[in-house]
Amino acid sequence: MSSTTYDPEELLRLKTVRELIRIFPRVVKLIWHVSPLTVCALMFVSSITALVSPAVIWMTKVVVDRVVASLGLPIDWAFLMIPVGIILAIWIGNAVIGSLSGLLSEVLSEHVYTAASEKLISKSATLDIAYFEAPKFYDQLKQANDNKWQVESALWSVMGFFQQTLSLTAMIGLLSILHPLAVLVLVGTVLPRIFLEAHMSRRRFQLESEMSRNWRMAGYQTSLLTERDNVKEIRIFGLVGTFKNRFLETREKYIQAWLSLLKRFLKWEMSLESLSMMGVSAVSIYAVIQAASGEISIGTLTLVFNSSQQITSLLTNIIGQAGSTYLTCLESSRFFEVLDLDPATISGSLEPKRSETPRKAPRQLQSGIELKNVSFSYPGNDEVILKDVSFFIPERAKVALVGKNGAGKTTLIKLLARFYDPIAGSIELDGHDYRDYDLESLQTSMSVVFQDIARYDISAADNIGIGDVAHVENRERIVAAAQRGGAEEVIDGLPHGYDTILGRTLNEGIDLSGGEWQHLSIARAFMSNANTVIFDEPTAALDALRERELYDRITRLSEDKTVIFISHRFSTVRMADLIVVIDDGRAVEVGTHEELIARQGKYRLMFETQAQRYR
Amino acid sequence: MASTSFNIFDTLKTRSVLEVFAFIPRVIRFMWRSAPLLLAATSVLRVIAAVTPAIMLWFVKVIVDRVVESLGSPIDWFYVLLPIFVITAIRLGNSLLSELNNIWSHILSERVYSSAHAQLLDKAGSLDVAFFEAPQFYDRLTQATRNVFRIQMVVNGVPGFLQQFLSLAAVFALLTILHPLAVLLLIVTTLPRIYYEGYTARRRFDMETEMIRNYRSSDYYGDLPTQREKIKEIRIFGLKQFLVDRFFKFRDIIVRTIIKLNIRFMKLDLSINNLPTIGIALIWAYAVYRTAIGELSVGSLTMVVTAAQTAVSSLQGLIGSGGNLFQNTLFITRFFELLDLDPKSISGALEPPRARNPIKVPSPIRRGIELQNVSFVYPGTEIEILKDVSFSIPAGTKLAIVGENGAGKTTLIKLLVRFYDPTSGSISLDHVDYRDYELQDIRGNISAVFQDFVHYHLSASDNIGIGSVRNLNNREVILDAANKAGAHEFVSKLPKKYDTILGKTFDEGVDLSGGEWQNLAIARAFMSESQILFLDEPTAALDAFGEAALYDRFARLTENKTVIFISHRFSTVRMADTIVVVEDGRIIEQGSHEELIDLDGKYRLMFTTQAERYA
Repeated sequence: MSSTTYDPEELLRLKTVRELIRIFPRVVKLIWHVSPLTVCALMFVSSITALVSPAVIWMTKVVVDRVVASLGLPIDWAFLMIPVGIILAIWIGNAVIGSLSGLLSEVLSEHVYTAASEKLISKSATLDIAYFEAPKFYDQLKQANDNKWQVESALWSVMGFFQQTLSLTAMIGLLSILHPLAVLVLVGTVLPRIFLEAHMSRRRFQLESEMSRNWRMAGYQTSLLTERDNVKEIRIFGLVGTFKNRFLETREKYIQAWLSLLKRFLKWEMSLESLSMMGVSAVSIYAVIQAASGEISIGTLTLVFNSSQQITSLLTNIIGQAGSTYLTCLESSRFFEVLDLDPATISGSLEPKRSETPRKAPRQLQSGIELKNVSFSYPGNDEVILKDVSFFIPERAKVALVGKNGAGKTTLIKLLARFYDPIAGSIELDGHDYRDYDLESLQTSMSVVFQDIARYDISAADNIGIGDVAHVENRERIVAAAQRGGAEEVIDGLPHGYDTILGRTLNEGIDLSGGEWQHLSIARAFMSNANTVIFDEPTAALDALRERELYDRITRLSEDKTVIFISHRFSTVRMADLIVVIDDGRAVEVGTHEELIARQGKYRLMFETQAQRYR
Repeated sequence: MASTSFNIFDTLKTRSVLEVFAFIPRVIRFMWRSAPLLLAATSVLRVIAAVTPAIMLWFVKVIVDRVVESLGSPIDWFYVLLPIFVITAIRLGNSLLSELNNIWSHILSERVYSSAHAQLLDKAGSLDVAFFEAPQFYDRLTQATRNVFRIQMVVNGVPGFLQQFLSLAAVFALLTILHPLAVLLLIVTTLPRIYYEGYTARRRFDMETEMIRNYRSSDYYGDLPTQREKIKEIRIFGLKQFLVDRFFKFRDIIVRTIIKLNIRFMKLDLSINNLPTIGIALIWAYAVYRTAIGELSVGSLTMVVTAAQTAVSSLQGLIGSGGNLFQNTLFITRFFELLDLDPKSISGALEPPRARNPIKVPSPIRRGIELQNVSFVYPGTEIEILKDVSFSIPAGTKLAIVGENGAGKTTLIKLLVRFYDPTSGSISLDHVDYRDYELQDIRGNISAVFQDFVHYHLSASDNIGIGSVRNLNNREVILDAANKAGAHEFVSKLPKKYDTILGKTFDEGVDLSGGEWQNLAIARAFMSESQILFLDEPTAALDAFGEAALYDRFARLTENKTVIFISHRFSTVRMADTIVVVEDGRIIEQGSHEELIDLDGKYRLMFTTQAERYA
């Protein structure tokens, strides 16, 4: 159950064959691009393979006929053994071709996987942040990533389908030697059963799609019991029984529903199965009668037996193959859907380039960053998060953003980093609208330490170095950044120093504590030669002394940079050159600590609330 | 291909085929315990199904013989057609039985899976926290959990394998009609192939083990840009090309190695794959010869021709399904190992109850908790985290633990909630050693907000309610807890209020801010009627007002409770009746806020560092 990667709801959505037909050429195109010669060779080989089994059945008939013909006569070795030899030759030829195609398909697979991955990496690295924050699109991306190898599976199932159909056609040709109607009888009696199978699997999908939400819930709740992060609370609150029972209830519901479905169909299945057996028997009886009356040879009789058996099993296989072709195409369609995403299709995505030659972000800010009447609400949500916010951040100023939880501070940072565009108003850098700058150049001119710091399971040196990819191999600069970020101590404690692999992706990886990761991420921010550094509450996990140390460091080392930070600790906030108080989406107060205290407004209230506890 | 297949390598290293198959009796016992009737019924059906192909082959022979006999003489229709009817009857019976078998096998595997998963959850739920913090055990648990679904495949695989074996034996029996040596010939020509399959599988496995670093690394770089947590930094630091380059670097190594290996295999393939073919051809030639000289009937000839092919393909099928069974069983060994895991086997596991009848925690607690010379070293490490710590927490008082990051505060909490036992010294509750109480009862009397509290992606109501499973559906108690913690206000604003699913796991989920999640965690802790409450940095993510509001209510909310909390904010700390200052694993100061200020030591230094900024 848990092994199935598809979401039945999605499957049902894409119902029509037409849509499949739309996806398939793209699969072929992608694979064709990787290696056209290999694809041609594989097609050729599978056509030959398809004909092996009909050929062997035919030669078997020849063998039997020749044996019967030579009964009672002196043995003519060549006459008897030539067909056996031919069969041997067919088999050997087939084996040779088979090994060759095995090699080809393995090589092709690997290359296709590489190509598909590369496409997805490039695509997702350029999608707007809005995509990542919309659960639906994020799911889609995740699924595309999980299913990228389905692209090649789709090709193999189509090849398999093609091969089996060819084989079936040849077998039908053989059987029609007996009587053209025999084919009709056989196919006519097997088909109803196949339709039933198809109908049943559709019902089963429906069932699973109805259950899918329950499944995901149950799966999530069982994962709570076995994951390290939750173990402490699970123990304290004694939650094992609760979550386990919810899981078992869901499973029982599923099994019962499925069982009743099966029971309902059992009768039908048995009768249609019997019908198809009758078809095979009718053909056999007819063949025996013909043979006994001398109308057909004994060899032809064996041919009928062999081929009618093959035809029934091929028909069933083909239906199965069609199903899996459908599934794999469907799953790879997720992959293509993501490749097709147009940055402009999601509400909240960035405005497209205004000119062909956008401005490059300056190395040093000349005047500063100005917010002019900025308003913002998240896509798909009516709530206005920022309302008519205006203030100016002079170059090289140290700016603190303060305000209650949910006031809009983090959102403001997202706009400053141009992850989103304001829905009204504008942000200007040195007097030019953000949207006139080249996005990549604008974003890389900033450096951000996010609240949810990213942990990279790569070497300690890389963890810092990727702050400036151009110098990712420059150890000197990395060491300097580590010193500035206060990460030296952490790195000195690692078994291989800067070359230690961190995290748990690789077995030898060393995991760090939250505080240690934080030091690395601060060093990473110092690595870049960004002109603006943004800190989103980087000290929540630090004790009082370290917090102070960090801020002293930041201000000392960022003299030539503009620094914007969010903090709830007013002891830190007061050091800023400029404090912006955000309340309910508005910038209600802007000024220095002294100015704002003198104003007796929101800031003073917040400051006092915290400060009085220290008196 | 799919990255999930890699954990097998960690597992496989140590296990031989025999070791793995030694688990099969256990699987069968497990199935028997989960669903004895179903197991018995499907076994009988499988035996019947196993011998059917051979019986059918035999009757085809009879048909051909009777047809040949009646050639040229008047036809006795009943005599000629009787075997066909017998075949039809067998086929029909067989297919009806196989329908039943399908259903039953399916239910069997679903039932076994349910019961296996439930046992796994029980086991995981009963293991000490020490297991989850020891990486090698945690990895095993993760592997067992991720692969427990494979038990369904083993459940079908074991009887399937035996069925194929039986079926092969029956076909071999038919071949002895031609010559007993025929069987030997087939086995001898097929054996090298079996050996070869094993060899190539081993080589592939070795190659992938060698390449595992490359596999994981390329996957890691490929996955990075599809992760929500990482994408912001990827954008800010402009990492796209860097990621693509790294991805290709590792993929290239993999692909080149795979191609080299496959070319080697192809050469071997060609010689070995043809051996069984030659075996079949020899048998055919011999059968043709014997029929031509009249020693064998034409019917026997057709039977031998088909039987030889069937034998070879089912022999190879047997290898294939044996291989699959091996793989799946291999994964399942992890599951059984986990069930066998002795909860005491890890260093750092809790001491078993000392008394035969552990004592219940008194209600109300009269005296309080006392630590006597407690020292602690994490299992598998040598650093003494706590050194000779002694202090007492009188019942009903509030105790604050302060100290720098890494001083040992969180470890102290872990001992106080009895996730670990002290390495030396003791912790007692009302003068009775912790270890003499029933573990569940101690935990039942404790409630906690951990620093890394869990964001449950369940409904808001469940998020609070699971603090007291008994009251999980008691909306009144939940509302009360939410009010106490200050969570009611924002929960009422959620689209479905208390029934809103939280977090981004589910489509309809609503994500909360860090502070809001923390409010929920606090509400959860207030749900339970526990006598002791632990708060580890409970307000780190709250804004100044949220913090102040919580503390204003604090005294009332925690009336009658013993409260132990960790905080970096001295505004919070000073509310405690007693403050202990931890430095480098030792208690260096203890007393009330005023006492410690007078002492003019570490506490005063830390307090004034923070307080002076509020001056």
